Amino acid sequence: MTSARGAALAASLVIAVSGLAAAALSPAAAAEATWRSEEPTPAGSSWPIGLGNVGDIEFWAPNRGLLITAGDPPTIPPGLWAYNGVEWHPLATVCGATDGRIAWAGPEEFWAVSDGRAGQAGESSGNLERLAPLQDNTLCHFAGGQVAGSYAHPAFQADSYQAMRAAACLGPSDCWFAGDPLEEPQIGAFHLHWSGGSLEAEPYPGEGHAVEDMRALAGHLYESVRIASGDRVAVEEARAPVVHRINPAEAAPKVVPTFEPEDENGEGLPLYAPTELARGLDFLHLSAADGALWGAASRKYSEPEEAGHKPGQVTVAIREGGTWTQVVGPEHPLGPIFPPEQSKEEEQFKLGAQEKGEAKNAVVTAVAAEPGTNSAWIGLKGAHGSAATARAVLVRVSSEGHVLEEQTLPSSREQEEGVGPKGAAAKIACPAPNDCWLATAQGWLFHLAPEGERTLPKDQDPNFAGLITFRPADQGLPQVPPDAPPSDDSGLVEEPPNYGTFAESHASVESKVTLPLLSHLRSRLVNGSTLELRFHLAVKARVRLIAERRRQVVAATPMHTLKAGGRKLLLRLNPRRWPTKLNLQTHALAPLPLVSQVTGEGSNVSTETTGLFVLPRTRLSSGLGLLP
Amino acid sequence: MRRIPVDARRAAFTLCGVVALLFAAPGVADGDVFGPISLVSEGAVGGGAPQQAEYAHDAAVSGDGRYVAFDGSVGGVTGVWRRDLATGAIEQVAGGDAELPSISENGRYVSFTTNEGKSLAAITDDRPDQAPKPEAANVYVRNMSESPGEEGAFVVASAPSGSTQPLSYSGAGTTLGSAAAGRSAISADGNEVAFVTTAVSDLTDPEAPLKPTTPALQVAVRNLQTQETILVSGEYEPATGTTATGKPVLAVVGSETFGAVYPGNARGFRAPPAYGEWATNPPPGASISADGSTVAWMGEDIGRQAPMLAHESPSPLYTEPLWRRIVPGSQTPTMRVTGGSDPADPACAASGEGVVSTPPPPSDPCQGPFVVNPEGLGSQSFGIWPVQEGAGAFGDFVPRLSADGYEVAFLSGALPVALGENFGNHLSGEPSDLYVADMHPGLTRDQALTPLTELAGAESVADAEPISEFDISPDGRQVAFTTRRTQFPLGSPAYVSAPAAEPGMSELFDADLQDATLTRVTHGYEGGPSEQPHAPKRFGEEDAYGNQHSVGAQSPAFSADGTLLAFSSTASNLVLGDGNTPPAGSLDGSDAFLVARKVQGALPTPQYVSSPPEAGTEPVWQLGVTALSRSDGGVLLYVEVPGAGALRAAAQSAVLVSSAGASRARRAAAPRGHASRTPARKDRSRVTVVSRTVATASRVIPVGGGELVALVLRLGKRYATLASRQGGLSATVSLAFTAAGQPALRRSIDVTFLRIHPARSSHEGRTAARRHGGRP
Repeated sequence: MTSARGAALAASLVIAVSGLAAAALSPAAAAEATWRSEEPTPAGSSWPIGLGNVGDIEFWAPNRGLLITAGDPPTIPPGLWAYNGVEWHPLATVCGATDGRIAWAGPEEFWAVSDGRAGQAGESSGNLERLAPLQDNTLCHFAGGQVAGSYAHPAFQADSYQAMRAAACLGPSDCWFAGDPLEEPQIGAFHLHWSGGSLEAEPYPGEGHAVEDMRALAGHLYESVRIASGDRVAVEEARAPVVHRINPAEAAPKVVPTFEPEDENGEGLPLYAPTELARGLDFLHLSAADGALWGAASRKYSEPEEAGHKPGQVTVAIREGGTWTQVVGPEHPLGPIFPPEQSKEEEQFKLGAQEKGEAKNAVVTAVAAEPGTNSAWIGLKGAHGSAATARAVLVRVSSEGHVLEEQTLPSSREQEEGVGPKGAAAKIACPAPNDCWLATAQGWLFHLAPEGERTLPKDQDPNFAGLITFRPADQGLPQVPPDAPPSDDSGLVEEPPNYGTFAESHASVESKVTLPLLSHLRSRLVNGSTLELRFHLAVKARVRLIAERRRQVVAATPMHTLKAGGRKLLLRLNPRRWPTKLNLQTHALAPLPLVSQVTGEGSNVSTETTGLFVLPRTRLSSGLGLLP
Repeated sequence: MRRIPVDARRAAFTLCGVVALLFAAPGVADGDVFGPISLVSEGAVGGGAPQQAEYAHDAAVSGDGRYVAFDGSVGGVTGVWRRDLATGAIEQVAGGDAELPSISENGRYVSFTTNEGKSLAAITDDRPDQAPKPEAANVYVRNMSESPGEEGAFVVASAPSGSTQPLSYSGAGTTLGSAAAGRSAISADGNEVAFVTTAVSDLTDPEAPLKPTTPALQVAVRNLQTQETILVSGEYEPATGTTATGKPVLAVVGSETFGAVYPGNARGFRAPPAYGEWATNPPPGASISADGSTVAWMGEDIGRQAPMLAHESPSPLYTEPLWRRIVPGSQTPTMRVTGGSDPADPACAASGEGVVSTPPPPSDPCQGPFVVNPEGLGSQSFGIWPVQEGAGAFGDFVPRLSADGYEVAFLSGALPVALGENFGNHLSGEPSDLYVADMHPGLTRDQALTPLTELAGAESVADAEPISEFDISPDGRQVAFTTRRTQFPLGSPAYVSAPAAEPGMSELFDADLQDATLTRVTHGYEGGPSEQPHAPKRFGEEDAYGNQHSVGAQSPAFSADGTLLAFSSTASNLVLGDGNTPPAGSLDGSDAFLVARKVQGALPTPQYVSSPPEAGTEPVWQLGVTALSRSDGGVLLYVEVPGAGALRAAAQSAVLVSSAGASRARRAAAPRGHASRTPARKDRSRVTVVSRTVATASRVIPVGGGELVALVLRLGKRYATLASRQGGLSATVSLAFTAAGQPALRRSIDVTFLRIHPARSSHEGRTAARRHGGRP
């Protein structure tokens, strides 16, 4: 770690500690924090503009934040922006997303759910051509100030990546990404798991509910799902769990992490009215702070009302100490949020022309727990009307369910200054007490901070100072054979290698290695004579396992074409002709991905040879004695 | 061999240089060039931070180029706005639903239409209009020198003559009343405003405001100083050849009533478009020239308003652009700008025809410029502007005028007769094309017409997309228009820009009538066409914007000198920083833009001529020579000598000589080839090539003997026969000129001594050959 990075982290720590101290010791100062527009002006422009649809805002520290945007082209390209305590600036012009997500894996490492790159062929059906989906279905792994790895998969296949709406990490080698249900006829929700060396599909089985949000809390990940009619599930349940808990890999008896339905008493979370259907309530927006997990949801307007069932309403629940508590919802309905003199503002939440506007009918767009305050900011908008032309509405709700304050943005003072509506609240993040950020539907940024403390010590980390413009190739890009002859690497025309001195290596050269085709090889005997060989393929490959005994083939599997990921082969052996050598023949069908050693994708993977494996040490009870 | 003298070459080079300059300097004729596009719907409101409007439409630039007015939303506040191009400040002209601005030459006066006239002072406060109080639509003028709350800041233009109150309407509700066309409703001095009533009003009977009787759809002009409102449209009186004063146009057919102005909308719905629906449905309106002298409008019920052929009686649905001068001293009755017949053509009048033939022969003097056949199809003929729904119904149908009112630009959905194709098949309803008509007296309608665009095909967007909106420059030299069409087949004006590869958003074009060029004005700041974020083009679609007419550039407007062009566009790539385009932005993301035309001044033909050679008092001391072979075997030298002196010339050539035997001398005179045929071994002689002086000549040039001296070189006797050989004898002539007190001058030149024998006839040849017993 460089001294600059250390200084930045130290500064972040100081900021966090001072913020906590300020919150604890000086409530008056907290009350002075105000929301104000802090929209960046793009280079070359004379006026600030919206950054486009901001899919996510996440902070590692108060002076180190990221947002991912679909952009406002051509002035704002899709990509990522970084906050350094002083200003927001473009960080990457690649890996932008229609509705992307960000997951911090470490102080200088993060993942982004990004849009795919154009180029894949569509799928023809008669005269219609279905374009390859590109929205939010790829991943970018940022580390060391660059995109260290890019992950995508060809469309229209059973294991194609689905659009991902949730991402979170428990550490650099344990990150999860989840989203839409699997393609038919599979049943389950799409998940990808990064284990530090490889990215593997780990679908949530049995329930095809879309995963919409994910947060880390106390060593576990919690994901929320959207229950909708038409979801494919193995077993129909009246109240399917809307929050799952993902256990980390090392805590599970198996290699694969486990999912647990976050279900209290088998009755589901305390969210619903007695006659309320689970599909009548939209998914829970999640936020975690101070050991508590906040969830906020609202009525799902895309679902038709059903007779005899109450529609959903604004519902807020908190998980503290392993117990979920409803603080706003059917048991504690959200009342009017605006003071009487602003009662007209409440009208934006009305459902019909003849009805009165009520805040409990609002749509929850975001939630962010504010550290150190036992409260959370919740973004609301009307069910009808354009989100782009509305003003943002925020309420701060305490852990007891009280509405502590409401805020309309732009503020009345800003409106006096001629600032017009910048869209409904879309994303909120609170990295510290009295320090929150809001992105509106137009991509306009508002900052909650005390006056005089609107800027922080500038983050000097060079990994977040430059502009990243390169994204490495991945499997989502069509593999086009070059029409030029391959470069001459025969060595005939090259200078002889210089063995006399050690060349000073460059970081960029060192940081890239080719991921081995095979990894995580494990073997065992099943039923005494069947060899099970488990392994992980980096890309799609043709694979065959051959067993030889003194240069004679004694058993062999057919040649299989296996897709990337964890795979296994079974080979039945004859105890009387027990092999002395195993040969796993492989032929990769796609380029092996380049990964960074810095991030661990290369350094943590040991290359496996395909020539010889040690057979399982075991005994047969066939009376033939020890095997060779 | 003929050589060019050195000085002659030098002179030739000098001449070539001059010629090259003559061709290089003026350059090839090119289309108009427009500078970079700037976004003008941004700026600081009330001294705040700069911000971009949420949307802006109907941009109009003041004649002096100082201000741009537009309607839209800035900081969440709707209304008409004026941007000061010098300071960048944006000022609210009128709040609420005010729209369709026109601006005076100095930008002080801005006319607009609003249905919140009585609230204007209150709602023009840079704040959102929280509680609109809609009323009948009316036309107002804002005096920007006065604050909104001051008296005289807002003056109603759609008022009865002599009154300062708005017109009274019958059944106007909150959507109808009066309307003014955007960009062209106010005169340059801001004193006259043209408007159209869209409801029954008390325009001509102000004494009975409670019972208005003036039918809707009449054209009027308000003089703000005199507070006089005159009815411009009126019934034509054939007996006097004038337009009746104060007699509005009215026709009732069944339950439908027709006025003087085509109201827009589809045939099945005759009511004028409701206020607030104009973004997709252009309102009726009238244009007034900058000098306030002339008014033009798209008329309906033409037979009641202007002269027709004696037996023509078109349906009230029949439309044509109409024109009338109203300035005292040069008033005219309402005149037809163009159409299906031309009764004013002297040849037509002389023919005595009462109706245009069906189908009309091309030589019919009564046939107008367009195939509309006002009589032959009765109610099926809709005239210049199609009333039925369809492609041709899209566009701005209000004609535009030059500053003096004599040039009229208009759209037509009918095909011109001259086009010939589809003759008689399509009477109207084609995608609209753009034309200019000259209204100076003495021109037939055919002679007055200049087509600016022409359909390149029948179906595709690229070939046949309608022209959308347009404007004519005050001097009548330019016409700007917007369209998604990409193909412009007319040779004049010639399309000189690179055509787009495929249709996309509507682009802005500028036709220069003087240069006869057509130029595409709009382009992305990084090049390429106008664009905004969009989904990929679907299978079978011609463009990526879902075939929407209204995307892209609209509402062009010229400054007084025609060098500035304001327009609006929903494109997001015209200017870096345009950030209000969906999906990130709200609404349609339209903005007001300004682009400057680079005026290429008349370039005089360069008069550069090479300077003459220096004429020093002392002659240049040099020697020049030109050689000419003569047929008698000699060489004539023309030697340019610098003065008096002695000139000597000697020709040297390589010849074969034999060094042994008696025949040495004889053989030495033999040509080289001949010598080689003589075996040296046999006669024991040695043949060598030596250089010999084969001819000499000299001349003494006396003082004043002339600069050019002719000198003849003849071969010496020993070598004379060599000139008769095939190819003659090549030699190098060395010249030496000596004069007292001057350095010797030397020159050399290659020459050929060649004797050319007179040609003999073939008969003589054969005779000679027989005489010598050989072959010819």
